[in-house]
Amino acid sequence: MTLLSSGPLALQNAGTNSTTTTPNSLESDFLTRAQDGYVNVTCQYELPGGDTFGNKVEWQGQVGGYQSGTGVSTRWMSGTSLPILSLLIDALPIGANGVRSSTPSFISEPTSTFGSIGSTYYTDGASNTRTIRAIIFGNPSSSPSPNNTRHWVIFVLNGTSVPNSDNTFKSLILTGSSTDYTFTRSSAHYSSSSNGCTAWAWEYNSTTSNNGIDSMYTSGTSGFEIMGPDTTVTLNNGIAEEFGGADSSNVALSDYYRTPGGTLHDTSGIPTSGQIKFSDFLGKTKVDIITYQMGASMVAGWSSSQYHTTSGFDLNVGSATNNTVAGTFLGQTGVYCYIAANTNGTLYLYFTKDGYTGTFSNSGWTTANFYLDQHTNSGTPDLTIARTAFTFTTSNGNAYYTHYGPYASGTYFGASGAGKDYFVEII
Amino acid sequence: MAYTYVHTETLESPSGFITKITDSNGVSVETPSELNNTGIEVDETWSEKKVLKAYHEMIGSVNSQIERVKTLNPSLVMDTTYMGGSSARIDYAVGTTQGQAIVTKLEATWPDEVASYDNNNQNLVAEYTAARPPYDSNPCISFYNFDTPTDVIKTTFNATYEECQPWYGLKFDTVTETVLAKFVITDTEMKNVDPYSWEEIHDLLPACSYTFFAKIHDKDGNIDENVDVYFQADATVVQEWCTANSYTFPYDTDDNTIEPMLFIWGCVYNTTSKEITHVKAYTRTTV
Repeated sequence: MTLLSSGPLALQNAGTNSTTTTPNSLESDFLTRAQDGYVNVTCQYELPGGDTFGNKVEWQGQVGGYQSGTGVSTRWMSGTSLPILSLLIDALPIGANGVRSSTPSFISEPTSTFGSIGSTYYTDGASNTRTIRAIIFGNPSSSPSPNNTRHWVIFVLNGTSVPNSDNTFKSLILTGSSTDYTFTRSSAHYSSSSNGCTAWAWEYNSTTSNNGIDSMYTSGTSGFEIMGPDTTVTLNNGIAEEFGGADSSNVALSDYYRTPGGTLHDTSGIPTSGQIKFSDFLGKTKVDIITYQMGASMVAGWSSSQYHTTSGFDLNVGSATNNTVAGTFLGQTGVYCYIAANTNGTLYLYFTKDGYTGTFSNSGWTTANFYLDQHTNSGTPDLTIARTAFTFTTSNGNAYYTHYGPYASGTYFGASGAGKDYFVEII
Repeated sequence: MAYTYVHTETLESPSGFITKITDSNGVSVETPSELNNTGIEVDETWSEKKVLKAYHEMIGSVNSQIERVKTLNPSLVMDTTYMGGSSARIDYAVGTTQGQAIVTKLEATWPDEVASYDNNNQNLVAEYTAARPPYDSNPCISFYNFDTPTDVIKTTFNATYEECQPWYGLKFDTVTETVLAKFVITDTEMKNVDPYSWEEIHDLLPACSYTFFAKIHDKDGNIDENVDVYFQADATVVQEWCTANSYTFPYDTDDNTIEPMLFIWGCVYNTTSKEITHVKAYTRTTV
């Protein structure tokens, strides 16, 4: 857990801990919007007098946003079974138009690549992977009454019967004109089956609080954020509760110095010696001491063969110390890192063992941490990559790990002549 | 070389699956799989393309190409461009005899276009007659400056890119004496300035590595609709891709001296027709 960040803090347990509820962001990324300037929502009507049918335009306007798919058959708006539109768009008045007799669908909808988003999927509050099929906006231009002021937003997830619950998403936050606009799931129209997907739709007009997203039907880049169920956090009110130490035994504040390389904790912001105060602990979460298998201090070199630039440490450039991995690593002992470099935006970590020509097993470690501009692992890593996120291969006594960026060479690990320090930690 | 692919479910992978490629020598590469629109199934085509790229980049022919080129003295290089089945032009380092002859012509007609044509011995020059748009069919001189484009050059051609590669090209029409500039930009910059073309081009390309792009500007600030994309890839992969998509393979495959000298590939992509119109192969050796 975490210690409370303000208020009375005890050395040991100060009684019942407080709880706070905080928003829970499941995904946040960019939304590059495409625009289609002319889209209809059309539906079949049984015309006045009965037994005669005709199509009527219920809504007409511009549509912007993003939808996935590579062709008509895979684009959500091109489907013919879209009950969400029945909920979102009102039927035309009966007198002159007859009676709506089918489910509306889009006509003249975009059929080629339409917008893009930074992440096409997210993990919801119940740990399900959800794939985003569309985030689209409608702006009426020549819609008939009663839909002539009907602006709308539709959010589509892949698959039918995705639960209409906060675990799926609590709200969708869209950024328009530098302002966040929140669309709450519980106030949305919901269709559990619209063209093989589950859809939520909000209707509004230009006088409501969300009128700032009227511009979202145009092309441009903005942001979206998917919020999950709120997170309830319980905060410890005693230092011993967070950092260890029995209530029943005597403890002193001096027992809680930060001890990197020692046994108790390695929490930044808490002194390692000298004056130590209660306020040093406010808001702190205990950071356990990590025993890493390799903690290599490196100085970046640089090479360029016109079309390829390498920044970091490899066989030709840069230098490294303490780059031998302790213990059994990749199934072997005596393994060392001989490349930790960035070539054209891709990170490479290569290992070998002198005299060994066999293969390595992809095991024995979990995480690579990169600390920029320093020779130690103090503070928070600038970059953490799980072993399982790397591409791995092994042959002839070499183990190759690759992670695709792009990583800017100026940052990882310094442009021409920079000679920047960095620290690579294998845990 | 023959390859087999296996997709295996594993909780260790971020996507829940890994895709493994194994060559006929038993060497394998594994990478987290990519999922299709369902979010729970492996996109086999995408995943196999990704792992094949990684294979060639880490231990295959792309790695060999890079290591070979590193051994060449850049001040003596001779790059041959192949397109449409034969050699289209040869670029020479400016310090070579052939390069100096071309530099003399540039200095005679365009003495003030840049401060110096040969202050960087990695600069490349070529004489050729263009065979691809937007260049017309007049005799041209190509000049590649292996320095970051100056603000003067960027202003002259109205280029506002944030991430230019540390080199750029100028194309001199010897008949009209007009000059075009070719700004070379990173993959990230292309994604920022033209995300639709970036996505469409990546969808079209074969398994390849280290992509970057080039955009052609004139002095009126116009940006041509043809975009160049450059990448490294295995020759067999590119050949199969050309056959599958009815693209003309750039060189004569009966000439077995070409493939060992390959170092990069290029394509011309028309942003209006959304098609790849030309495929180019580049070899590098020294004079």
